[in-house]
Amino acid sequence: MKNQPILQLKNVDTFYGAIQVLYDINVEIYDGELICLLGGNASGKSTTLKTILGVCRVKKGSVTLAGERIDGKPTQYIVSKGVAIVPENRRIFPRLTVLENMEMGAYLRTDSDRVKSDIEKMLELFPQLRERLHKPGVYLSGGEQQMLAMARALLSNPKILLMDEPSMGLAPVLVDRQFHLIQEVNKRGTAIFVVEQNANMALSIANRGYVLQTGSIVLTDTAQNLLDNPMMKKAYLGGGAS
Amino acid sequence: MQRDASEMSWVEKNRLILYAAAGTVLLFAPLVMPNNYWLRIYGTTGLWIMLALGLNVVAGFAGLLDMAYVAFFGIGAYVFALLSSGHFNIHLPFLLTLPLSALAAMGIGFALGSTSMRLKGDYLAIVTLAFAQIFRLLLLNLDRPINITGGVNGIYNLDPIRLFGFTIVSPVAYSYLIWIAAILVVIGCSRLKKSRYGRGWEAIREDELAAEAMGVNTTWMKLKAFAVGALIAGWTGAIFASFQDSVFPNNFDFPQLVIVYCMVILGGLGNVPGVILGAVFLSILPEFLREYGAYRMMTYGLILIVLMALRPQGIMGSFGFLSKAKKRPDKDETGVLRASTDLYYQEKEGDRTSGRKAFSKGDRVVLDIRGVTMNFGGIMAVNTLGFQVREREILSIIGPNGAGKTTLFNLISGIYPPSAGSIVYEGRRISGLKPHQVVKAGVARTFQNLRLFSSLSVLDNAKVGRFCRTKAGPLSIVFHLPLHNREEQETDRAVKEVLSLFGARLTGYRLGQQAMFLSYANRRRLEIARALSTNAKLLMLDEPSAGMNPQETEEMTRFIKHLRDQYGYTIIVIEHKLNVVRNISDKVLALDYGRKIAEGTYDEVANDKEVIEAYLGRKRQPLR
Repeated sequence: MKNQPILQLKNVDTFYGAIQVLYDINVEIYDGELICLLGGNASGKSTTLKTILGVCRVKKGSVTLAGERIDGKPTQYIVSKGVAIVPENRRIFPRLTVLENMEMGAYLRTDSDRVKSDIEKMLELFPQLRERLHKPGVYLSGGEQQMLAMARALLSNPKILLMDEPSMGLAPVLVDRQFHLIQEVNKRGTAIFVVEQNANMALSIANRGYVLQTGSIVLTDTAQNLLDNPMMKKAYLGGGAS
Repeated sequence: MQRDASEMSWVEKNRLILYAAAGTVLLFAPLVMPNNYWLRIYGTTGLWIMLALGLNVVAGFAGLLDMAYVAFFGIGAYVFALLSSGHFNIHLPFLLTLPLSALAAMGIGFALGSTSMRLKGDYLAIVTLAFAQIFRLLLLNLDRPINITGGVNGIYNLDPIRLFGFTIVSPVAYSYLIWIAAILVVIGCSRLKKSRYGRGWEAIREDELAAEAMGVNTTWMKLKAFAVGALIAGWTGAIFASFQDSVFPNNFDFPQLVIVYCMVILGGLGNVPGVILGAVFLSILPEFLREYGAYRMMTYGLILIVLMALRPQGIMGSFGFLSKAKKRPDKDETGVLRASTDLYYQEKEGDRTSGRKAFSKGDRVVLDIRGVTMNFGGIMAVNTLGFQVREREILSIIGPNGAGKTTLFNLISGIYPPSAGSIVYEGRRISGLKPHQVVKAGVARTFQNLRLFSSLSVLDNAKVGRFCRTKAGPLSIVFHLPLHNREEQETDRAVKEVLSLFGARLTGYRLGQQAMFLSYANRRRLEIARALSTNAKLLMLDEPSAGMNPQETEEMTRFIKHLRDQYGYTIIVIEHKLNVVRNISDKVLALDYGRKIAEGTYDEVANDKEVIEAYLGRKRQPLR
């Protein structure tokens, strides 16, 4: 299984105009893995996702998806090759109905019969969405919006799912449920790369983690080792602080 | 308003030299122009500058898409022509007709504005565009049955201007007249920009809702922007009419509107020197392209496209030496794990933790909410909710997403009036008031999803909060009267005091930094600073620690407590992080489906069966 990474970032530098945001980033994600990317505010977490999606240009280094180089390619091409994102703050289409939102996720697919059965699968995974199927997205609560954003992303049949701060602004009971769902989706075979501030939660479900600090990866290890790392406890996990 | 030399940009340091240079150039320019043709272009340039600066107030400062702008220019010109020509045989002196035409344009601008101000963006553009077309058709057709506008032929043979014994006829004399008028407009606009008016307008442009919630009377201020724009357009129109010695409907048509907009956009919306430069550039450029005949307009368009592609923020956008460079901390090499990007900030421990408690919870009720209901077309976001907040109390509101917490804040801050029930603050009913009135009454808030004025500096963001505590009007601002000067000093002092509560994170070089370049946590801090600047006594914080890591969350928790303990604020906070709620709250209120499901101390609420089921989940205490 661990022969070729499904997604690989190799020595990646990214800039915003003249300001360098990412320095020499190396990330490898294998099929079926659940990987988290941790880091403080403005450490470059979201930029890493934008770089993978081709929204930010790679200045140096390479991004490969299942062996194919995707850096420099347009975002829609990258999405068509199997990368999907659940963006920060969900960003569902507010005036489209839940069903239409999901159909937008399958925008690039041509197998409309399969799309129908995939939507049905999503409704089994997220039963709350079925009750709201024909309601505009704007009427959903935060937790439901998060589910819709996941369903939308999964409907593009991605090889890898990127998630940007899925727990932000959710009630504690929903945070638990959210991470449970992430794990569930991962078990069904989709590799997931999740960016989180909530380091404890993310590490409790992930296989491995990377830690970003001012644009560089300063630490990478298995999730358990990161949880036990005393430096991590101090900086990110808030060990004993509460 | 003393500032260190290091805080000033290159332009500010050499201000006097620049003024002297500009003055000299303007004084001698008309005398060295090679011929009358170039003198005319020189005069026209001055007119365009005024026209562009007027539009800059409406579209640049306040962000209103005013498509009727050229009509106000026309109104000024026609009023001037009617009042000083043989057309109706009225011959008023220039010193009377100039203000009359400007005021006429302003009055009509005001009237149009008051009917269309509720419209936003594209809708405002469509309505004003229609007005401009009606105006042009009136000009063309009002020559029958009574000849008012002169129809296609317009009005010509205007009275020569007599000023203090001089008769202004020669192109050189006109150049001086136009440029003196232009300098007045430039000074007026620059002063407006740097005043409470300018900040209020720019706040509206950046985020209207946030501006309103920070105490800016947005409807009234937008109307004023519309009126000031029309005033400048009318003023320019009068001088233009006299300069051309005639007025025709064609002078005030769509192409002119497009050109003025190009000048403003090219110069950078809201940027006074930029717009001046844009106007100069676009007035002179066509002259150089004249010999290319048919290719002229094409080249013109091409240059615009290229310029906008290269410098979308306008030609004066951000030249290194003109504005302070933005900085991001360089790569950290220490190898120590840090959860925050604010690498250079060290919290002074003594400040926060050991300060003796000066204030604690009192018994007087300051906020009394009774039976408040919000019905969004059948969905009850808040349902007959009632609770009280006591003086200097910290009340936390918890509840699942969609429980109506933010809606409750919106109701208290007046963003929408409740469908039923009453909200009373300090004995005064505030339900039904507009947000800016609620702020003035003493209740300020922050927003869950950060609504800063992103292209304004940290300092100006906070200064917007002072809008409702200041009164200076346009005259006071334009003439720098004592009221304005006193208020500006007071604003500067008060705002810096508030920002200094956050230490180096919002002061020092950060004062001049645009809000969009701040880190996420600092933007949250700035939102609180902006709310504090309004002098409110009751603060409503919507998820102040969202998106912060444990270290920063802890600091924020201490800060909120500090605000109460040291400064005596009453605070209502919506929070999802339970360790925050536990540490700061005197009282906790749990909502679900818009109803109160529990109220009491943290422990009481956290052990409530309904709360556990709806909000906390089975594990009563979360991991952290």
